[in-house]
Amino acid sequence: MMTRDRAIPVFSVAFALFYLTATYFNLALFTYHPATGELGFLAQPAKSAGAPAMYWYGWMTTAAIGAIVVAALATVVPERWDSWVQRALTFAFVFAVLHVIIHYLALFIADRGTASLEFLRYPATWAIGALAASAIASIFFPARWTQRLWPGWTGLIPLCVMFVFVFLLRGWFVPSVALILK
Amino acid sequence: MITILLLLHGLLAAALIGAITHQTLGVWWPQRTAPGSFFARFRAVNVASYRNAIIIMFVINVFVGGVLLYPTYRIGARVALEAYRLPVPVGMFDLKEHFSTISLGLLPAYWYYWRPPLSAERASIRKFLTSIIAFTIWWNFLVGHFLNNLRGL
Repeated sequence: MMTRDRAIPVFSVAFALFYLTATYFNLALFTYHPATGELGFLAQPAKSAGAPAMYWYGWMTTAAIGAIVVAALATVVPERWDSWVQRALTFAFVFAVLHVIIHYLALFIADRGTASLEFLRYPATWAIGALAASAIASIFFPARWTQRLWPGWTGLIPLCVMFVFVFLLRGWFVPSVALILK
Repeated sequence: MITILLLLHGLLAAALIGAITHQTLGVWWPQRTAPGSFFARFRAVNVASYRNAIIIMFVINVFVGGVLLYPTYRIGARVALEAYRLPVPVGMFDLKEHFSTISLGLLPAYWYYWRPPLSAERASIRKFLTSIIAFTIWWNFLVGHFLNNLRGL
């Protein structure tokens, strides 16, 4: 496989994942203060209430650097590892989906159960549950899911990142939606 | 100056809407026979030929919006929207920002999968990527228009 064939799609997927990580943990490489026009290294707090800080440029830069590194690494991964990369991606994707489902299911049960179900509130419980469920599910993965590297990851992973952003920003919408539904 | 940039941003967005809508409809619902109706002619375009135009316009529009206009929005319009207790427009704009960035990152893959000669094997991924970018462009256009009506720069 040509180097470019591998690096370009990997860059797009890695960029979305690094951007999400940079945004979530505020890993901006630099901060722009639009009121004063100043640039600061790494994430810095706002100068004052009326002079907010902008991290977007810093997040994009962090994501671009991370994605370039991963894309460069992808070019040296031997082609015979593709099926293992595909397996790992499928497993990680199923784990992530099941983690979300188990998380909310566990909280739903814990809210309605007794104090003995308090362990359902622990993040470790959700992670272990999702890991076990993914391991069981992986036994039933069809062969076509694991044999060849699927190009659809290039669209699916960024799309999932977009959904995560909708979820993370729900705080802006939920009170208004609740008010409308009331 | 801000007004001129905002007009440029809007005009580019309108051009992008046209290009990506042509391409999305053409790729999902290709016109195989001689087009008769307006809608059929709308779909009967050479979808691959839009690739570079969409990429260039998208990048320029993100530059105009994100680099030249965004700081003014951040210290002016957004502060006002928060003061008016209008969380929904602020959240919609935040989504616009994140969707734009993810689509910007997708452009290399979009360029790569739309490279001629187009392989039938990669038709699905082309549809997928085009749809994500089309959604982003439409979202950006509608949210930008809505916000500008609500509280212009």
